[in-house]
Amino acid sequence: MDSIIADIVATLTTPAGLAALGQVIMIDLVLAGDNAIVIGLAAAGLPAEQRNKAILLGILAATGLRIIFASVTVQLLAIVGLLLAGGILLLWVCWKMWRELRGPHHNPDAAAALADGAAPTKTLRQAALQIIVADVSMSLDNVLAVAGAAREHPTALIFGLGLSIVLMGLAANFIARLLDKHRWIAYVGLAIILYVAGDMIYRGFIEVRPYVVSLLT
Amino acid sequence: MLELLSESPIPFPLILPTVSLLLLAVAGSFALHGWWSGQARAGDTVTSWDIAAALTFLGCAAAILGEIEHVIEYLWLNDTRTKPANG
Repeated sequence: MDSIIADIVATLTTPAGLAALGQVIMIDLVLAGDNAIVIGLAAAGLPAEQRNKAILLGILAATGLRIIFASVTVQLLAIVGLLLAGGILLLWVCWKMWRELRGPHHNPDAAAALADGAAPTKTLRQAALQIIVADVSMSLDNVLAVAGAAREHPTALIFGLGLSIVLMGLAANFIARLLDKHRWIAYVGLAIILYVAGDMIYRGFIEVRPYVVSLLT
Repeated sequence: MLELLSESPIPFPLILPTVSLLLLAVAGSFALHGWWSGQARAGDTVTSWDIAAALTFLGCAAAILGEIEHVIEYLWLNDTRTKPANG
């Protein structure tokens, strides 16, 4: 217990400790950004009382998945094509979100039907599915990206995980509210997630290409 | 533009994550202002909450475009260079 306290004090009071903390904050910020946007996008179409549930679910799923993936990183790194599969999954989430964006909010007839008491087009279950699928893809990408670092800095990554939870929660909540008020910004968010999916597919394809070429020749 | 970036005191791979950190910090202060002054979160007028949300969104976007691989490569390479070799 004393050594843990001494560790924390050393981190917060020495320049080297603060520098290490700054590094962890920066890495976790980059890691939490895509999760926050996708959770915010998925939660934005929900009624206010369900939005917080969706955000909480998204954060718990992202955190749990990162812990699980981090504990089996070596095995994951041995699987060829995982990144490509993750990218394709994320692309599917983008497609679902695109279809929702083109739905009632942009369609006066459907919006009128909603106002007349028709069932909402988006449910908590649909949002949860989108969030979990996106979390699986992005957490996988993130864990694979920090695989080397994780082995040398486990304490920093544990601290970072806690920080990510807080960041994701606050950011996703803000973003969901912003998208509810200014729906057009959701297209920008979708473009960002599409970029993440495209990047994963591109890197995944490069990883898979030698195996495909050797199979074909 | 690239020349300007290359002369920046912040290393190139850390520019977007740093911008992101700054945006989130400013977003945090706007959110605190909104909370402190008791501004309504919903409504048609633009409040501190809206500015905080927009800055958070931009901060997250900058973080994503910052590419984690480059950040880790830079930070950990520097870390191992500054550490004395064991044995």
